[in-house]
Amino acid sequence: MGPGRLGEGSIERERCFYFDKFVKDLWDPLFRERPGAREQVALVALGGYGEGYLCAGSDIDLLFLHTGLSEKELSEFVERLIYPLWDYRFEVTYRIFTPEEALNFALEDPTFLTALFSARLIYGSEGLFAELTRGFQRLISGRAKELYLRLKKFREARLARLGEEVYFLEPHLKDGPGGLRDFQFLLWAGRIVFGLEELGDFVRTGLLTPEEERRISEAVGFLRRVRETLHHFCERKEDRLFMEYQPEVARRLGYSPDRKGTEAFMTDLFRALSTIKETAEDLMDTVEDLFFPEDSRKIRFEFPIPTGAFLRRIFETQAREGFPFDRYLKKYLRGRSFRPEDLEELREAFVSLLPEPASLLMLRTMRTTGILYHLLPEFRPLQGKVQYDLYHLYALDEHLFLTVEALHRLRSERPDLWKDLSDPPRELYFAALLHDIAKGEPRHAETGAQKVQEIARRFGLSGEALEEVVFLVRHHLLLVDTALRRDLGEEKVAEDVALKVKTPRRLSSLYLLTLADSQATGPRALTSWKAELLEELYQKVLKLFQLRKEATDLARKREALLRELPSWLVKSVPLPQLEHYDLKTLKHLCLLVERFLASGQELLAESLTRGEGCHLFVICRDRFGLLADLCGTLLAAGFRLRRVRAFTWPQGLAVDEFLVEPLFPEADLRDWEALFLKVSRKEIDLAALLARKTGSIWRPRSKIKWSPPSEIKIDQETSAFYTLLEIYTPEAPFLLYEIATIITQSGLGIGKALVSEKEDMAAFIFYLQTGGGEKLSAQEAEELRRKIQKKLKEVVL
Amino acid sequence: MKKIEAIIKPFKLEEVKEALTEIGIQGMTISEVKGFGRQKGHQEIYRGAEYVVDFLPKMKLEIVVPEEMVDRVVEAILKSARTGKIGDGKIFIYPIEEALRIRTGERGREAL
Repeated sequence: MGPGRLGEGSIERERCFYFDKFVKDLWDPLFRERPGAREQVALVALGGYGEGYLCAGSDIDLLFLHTGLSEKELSEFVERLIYPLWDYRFEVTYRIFTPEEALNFALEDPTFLTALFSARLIYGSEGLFAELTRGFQRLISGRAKELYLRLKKFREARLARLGEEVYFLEPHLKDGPGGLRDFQFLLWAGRIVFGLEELGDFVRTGLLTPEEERRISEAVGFLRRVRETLHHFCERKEDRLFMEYQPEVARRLGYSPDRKGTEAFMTDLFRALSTIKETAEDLMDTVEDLFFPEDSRKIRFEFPIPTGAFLRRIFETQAREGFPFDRYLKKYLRGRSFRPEDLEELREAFVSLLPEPASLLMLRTMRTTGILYHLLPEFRPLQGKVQYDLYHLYALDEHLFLTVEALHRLRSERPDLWKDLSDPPRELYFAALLHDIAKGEPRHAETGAQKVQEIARRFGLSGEALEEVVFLVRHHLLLVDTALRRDLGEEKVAEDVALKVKTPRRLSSLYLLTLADSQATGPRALTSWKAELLEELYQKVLKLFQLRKEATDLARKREALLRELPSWLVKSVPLPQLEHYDLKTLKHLCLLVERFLASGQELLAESLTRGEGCHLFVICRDRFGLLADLCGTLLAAGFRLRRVRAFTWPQGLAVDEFLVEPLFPEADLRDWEALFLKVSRKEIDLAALLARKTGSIWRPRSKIKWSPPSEIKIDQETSAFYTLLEIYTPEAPFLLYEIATIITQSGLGIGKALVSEKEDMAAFIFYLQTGGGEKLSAQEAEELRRKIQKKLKEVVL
Repeated sequence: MKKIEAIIKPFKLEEVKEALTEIGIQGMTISEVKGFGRQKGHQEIYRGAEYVVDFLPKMKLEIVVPEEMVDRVVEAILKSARTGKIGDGKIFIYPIEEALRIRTGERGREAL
């Protein structure tokens, strides 16, 4: 039936020849015993075997044609052949039909229909085979459109079943896009629609240029060699080129036995698959122009003058409308050369086209036509580049395209993340396309960021837009690394991210890029397990921004400190301290901490007198009940606390500031220090000491009879790490000690404390955690509130 | 032989792995798991918000060792996985009846 034949003399062809001989020898004795049978049965090869290619380990498709023999007679012929084949462990698929039955079945079953295209008589009745051939011709003639649509549907179903693209890292050599089935599709469609017998006919009829015919022949030849080698290596029929097989297959095909060789092999394979897929689709394009001109929605080849505007227009239309280019336009773009000025308009528009809904199609068209490499020569080494890890499913360039596409999906999946972004956020899309531009190089995010500086300028980005793209590329792993490798229960971790991203808008952008990158990598890159950790981090950082809108100034302060002080020290400063203090005080605090750590002392206290009064800075190891002890000892030493800013540093240090006022002229901070050390060492019972002083002069008495009511609030919303206890109450010097003691006695830790006074009211804000480091449960919070309420009634009234 | 199964905080994996490598452990199986115990989890953090999560992400390690290694392995995990906060995880120890290396058919300690 004349299948398209290629590359004579291959191993597959030779194998076919010997196999033909083998089966003929099996049937010969039967024909000798029953001479009449020679005109009653025929053995027909189908599929690949029918085409004359028998790949090692492939299925053998056979058709037993007969004139209507009885079951008994037929079984003799079938068994004589099939049993030995099974004994030799061939995988045989066979059907037994009369020619009429075969043709009826072909109408029902598209696989069988296509198998008949390559039917070839091996042995037996030529008349029967001719009957089948004539019948098949009748069957397909006048049905070109219907059969073409069937084949097309069949192809679409096959590709949808596999659900992969050409640049899938473990390609299916037979059924995948650009696989051998796509080549068969090309031949079948050529035969049904145009009556072409072989690939050479495509050239003679002008459907392919000789150059295209050469490229596709080479591609198919290469693909067959790969498949043959794979079958040999696996010692079975295995059409999926899994990653673990790639180095060995590459080596056997003559590539160097190292990673580079494997990568070069895979790049060649992707090119071959692309060529086959493109050619098949170009033919579909031609056929559909003939059959369904009215349905054809394509961007057509038009007179391309002036070139610049033309290029911009065609890609703009494609990105917006999602129409493919027709084959003439693709050929034209592939064929001609461009001067830099021809691409200027397209370059100017490029970044704005990425957020358009069909930008994936645009990028792929740019790749197949080569326009991409004129615009972004940095992509050339990325084409088909394999990423050998457990996660990536696609070659590098395709991964970058798919990251852009994933952003489109995230628009509907996560509308919350888009609401503060500019519309369209072209910097985010551009960063998505470029984030792995330096993959394979050391510190690829940083190296990529440096490359992107130059690239983004070429595309007309400057100022904030340029900075945004560079930032996103540089930090595209920040969220995922932090979520998986850092303790999300530590507020400092979220604060560090906030200081790096600086604004909630940028946090959203970075999170979207992280999600898109993971989605484009493959399903194993973003398990629900990882997604949950990422979401937790995002929510915690977002919460920090809800309090302060943005952290740009704070980041600036930190950068200024980093220029003067060791990084570990500066990075330990909690966010609220950066907020509360000016640069000079922050520097002073850092130096105090450094001095404390170097000294090995139990306590470092320093007082400074400024405009507001005496500021006492205290550095010591944080411990349970520390704040109560500090407040209680200061009180016992005769100091009233007008303001407190108490924080815990990640090294487990308390770094606190007290604005103190002596209650007696003779009150001395040196006495306080001595007292505090004794209390810390448990040499003095602070509670007993304070109880003895009850009623002494520092016990306040209300000057007026009426006191404003106290207010206690429990806030579980503001912080992701702490339960906030807020108390507004008439000012009373010893109250802070009393409340801190209640908190300590309740087994709770104070992470931060802020106390201030205004006129005769005091505001206390405590950041509380349970002993296990969690926020308080509703029950724990309520119990604490009740205890404090009771105490306030005792003291204030 | 004993199997030691440890549930730890995800970010502690590298540290625990290093600690185990230091004492000569050459193989382990890890998996991403979710679960809950005393740790309250996100309900408290995002109360009233849409992110309510019952099960928290944890990492599970499984290691099979000869009996005399058990204490060292447990100690290494305890030290390296500890943050002192709730949710640090748990360690379970099981008796192992037999172990086989599939490639060679070796059994018992030889298969570990």
